[in-house]
Amino acid sequence: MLDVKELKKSYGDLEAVKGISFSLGAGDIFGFIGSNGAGKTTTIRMLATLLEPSYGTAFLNGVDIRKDPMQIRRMLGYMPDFFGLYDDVKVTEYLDFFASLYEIPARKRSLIITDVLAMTNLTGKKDAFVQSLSRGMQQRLCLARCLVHDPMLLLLDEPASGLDPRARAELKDLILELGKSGKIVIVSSHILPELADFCNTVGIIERGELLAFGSVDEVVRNHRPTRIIEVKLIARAPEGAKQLIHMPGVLDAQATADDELKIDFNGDLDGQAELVSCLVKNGLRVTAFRELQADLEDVFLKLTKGAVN
Amino acid sequence: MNEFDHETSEEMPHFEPVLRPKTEEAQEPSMGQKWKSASKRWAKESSLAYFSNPAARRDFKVQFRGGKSGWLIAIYLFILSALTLFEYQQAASPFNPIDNMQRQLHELYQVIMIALGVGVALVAPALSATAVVIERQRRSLDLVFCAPVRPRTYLIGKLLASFRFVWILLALSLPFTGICIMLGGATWLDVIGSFFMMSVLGLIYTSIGLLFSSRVEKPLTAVFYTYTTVVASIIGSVTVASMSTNGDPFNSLQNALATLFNPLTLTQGVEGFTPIFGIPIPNLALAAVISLGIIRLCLGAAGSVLAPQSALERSNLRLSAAGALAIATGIATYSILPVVGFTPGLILNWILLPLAVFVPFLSCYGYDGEQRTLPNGLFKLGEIFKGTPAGGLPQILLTVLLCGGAAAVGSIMAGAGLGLGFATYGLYAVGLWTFGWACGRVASSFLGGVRASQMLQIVIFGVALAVPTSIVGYIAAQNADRAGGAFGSAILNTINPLYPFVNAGSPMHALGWGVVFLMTSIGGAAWSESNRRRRLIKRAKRVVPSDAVGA
Repeated sequence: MLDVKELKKSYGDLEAVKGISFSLGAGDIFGFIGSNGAGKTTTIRMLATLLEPSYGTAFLNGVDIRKDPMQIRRMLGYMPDFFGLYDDVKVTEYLDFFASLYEIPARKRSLIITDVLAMTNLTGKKDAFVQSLSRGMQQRLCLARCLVHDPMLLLLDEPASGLDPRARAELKDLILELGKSGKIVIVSSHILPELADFCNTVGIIERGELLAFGSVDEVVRNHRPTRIIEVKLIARAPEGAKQLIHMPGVLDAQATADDELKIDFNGDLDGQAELVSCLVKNGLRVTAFRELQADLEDVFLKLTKGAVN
Repeated sequence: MNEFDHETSEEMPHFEPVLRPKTEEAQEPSMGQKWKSASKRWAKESSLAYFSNPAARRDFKVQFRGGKSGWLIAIYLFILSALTLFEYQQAASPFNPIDNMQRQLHELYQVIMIALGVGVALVAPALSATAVVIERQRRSLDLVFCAPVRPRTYLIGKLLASFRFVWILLALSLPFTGICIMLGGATWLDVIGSFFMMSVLGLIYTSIGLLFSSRVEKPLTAVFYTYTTVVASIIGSVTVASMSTNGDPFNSLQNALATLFNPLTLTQGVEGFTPIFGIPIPNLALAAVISLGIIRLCLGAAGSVLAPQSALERSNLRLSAAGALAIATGIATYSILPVVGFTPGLILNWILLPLAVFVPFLSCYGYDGEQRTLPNGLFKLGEIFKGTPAGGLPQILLTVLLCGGAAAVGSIMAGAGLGLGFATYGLYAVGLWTFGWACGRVASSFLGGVRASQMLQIVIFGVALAVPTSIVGYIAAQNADRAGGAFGSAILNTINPLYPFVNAGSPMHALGWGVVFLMTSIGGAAWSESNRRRRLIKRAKRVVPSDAVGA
């Protein structure tokens, strides 16, 4: 279990992370969402014991990251947003080096390396030099490195950046697999649809503050902007927009060229029914009426307003 | 506490872990158990560091991959063979008298050892100076340090990998030196002693390379600093050796300890002894102990830079540095007092000179840096060795006191005694370095950056000492031949802050300047603190633009 308590990092007057707190359990895949410079990497580096928090702490399975960083390092795997690979070694040598850093006995290393290579689909490249691997393969090798000591927590900072769609899909499957095996996975990204696909928990961070935290549904439900309702008419859409703009709860109504109405609505289900009856009463012929589902991206844009970049 | 003070660790609430590990619920282990587990951990870490170091294995494998190393070794062997053949041809002429032949064979040995020395001085820094900085550029250091690896273990790995290459070069030259032994140019003791010292020098150069490699951002800078330091150490060792033998630097070095720290002259000091507290100690043993101290300090300094959460490494380094300086003071006082006409107080002040390099680091954190390190006041004993602003002065004072104590012991052992003069020179040392610290505090309260405030400290401290000294020196030179020059010169000496530094018999000057330095330091520190607080209040009142926040 990971328990983050009021984690804060200041650089002089600048507060990069402003006391964030959250808890994750085994099997949780946590999507850490934020703009560039929002504080994701700083938080992840603090959890990886590479940065000392200015205040607060985190416990991984009861061990304090500030008091016993060496013990914490045995329990986590960290994949930064850069590869940091040694070009001049072979894939197995690279993994063997990190396995020995984690004090894995020599007799067990080759078996473990074979396993992680199989898991990351790199078995065929085990004797290749690292510099000869493609970007996607290097990314998988980084992930394999994180897995050699079977960590309980995986910190993946922008793991999908620069990968082609196939490599992304493979990475997604792999992360899901790791989550199923009971590991806590923290994935930072700003590619939101991707995170919504495989994360069961998300957190939105902006200017160092955790603005939202919970399951994707919870976050969307609690923080979604006004509902968008799409109405399809046979004709006279601009007239329909004029009618609806004065209805209670309607913030905006726009007619599109193909006789559709996009209504920005802030009311309940009764209010929605009133919209339909208003249109019908005014002689407009409705062929479709549906509420568009808000997604993580809408919530993110609402909460962050894109101020940090 | 005022409203601008940051949270300190004492003020932090106690966070309870949600899930405590089972071990914590068990009964508190006894002292014996704690000691046993600590020694077990130490043995395991040492075994990993020295015998199965992953960093050493990886680096060594990479060093020997491809034909580069083979070519390097071949060129090295070719040069050694050519030199040996050339010298042998000179000596083995049938018209050469036997005594001349003997001398030339000894020269052959010297030439081979000098070639080896040049090789070690060139190869060891080249291998180590880029070892860490390249990893930093490649950004693989983070990956290494998020594994349970201490900087010490990692640096020992780098040291071993670089040094193993040096040792291969030494081993490959053995057949050539063997020829010298067989032909009578050298004895076994010469060769073993020289090889031992060459290896130790290789280790020192490697650790100097690692130190700069850890501290700088570019490989070229690291290489430049390392070679500069190596060259300076070679020149410095000749100078010290010639000073200690009171003679010609190149003809009177026989058996001087300092010659061992120069790869070009070390064959001359191998058989020497240095009396310590009346007991003749082999130079080789002394050199090995001193070298271990240097290596430890270099690796400690490198480790304190690399440690992500560096309290332990930093404390170890600072404690080791203070201890090493104190030991050096004791030995120097004991050894130098009977030879030259210095007083123990003067030796103490001279040996504390390296503090000029360290005081900027101990006193300057920059205005912004202090906010980060927590503005924790001017003086807290509990913060000593922690690398915080409040720990700077305690550490400086402790270092001066330790060295003062060591100088006193050395002086008593040498039979020179102490007297009031030593006390006044001690007070002068305390005052001088407290003043250096106060200059750092003032600089830190004005400038935001660490480096900028360190530079300002050096300027303030240097100007405050050097300007009166230069003026006094100039006026004294202008008036030297005038009537009453001696009286005028006495007055001028009184206003020269460095006069006690160059004059062994001026306890009143030392006392006076010690008090002046201390008073000025108190004033300067108080001023810097009020300036810092004023700036904090000013900054707090200013609205920080919200879009200035980032990761």
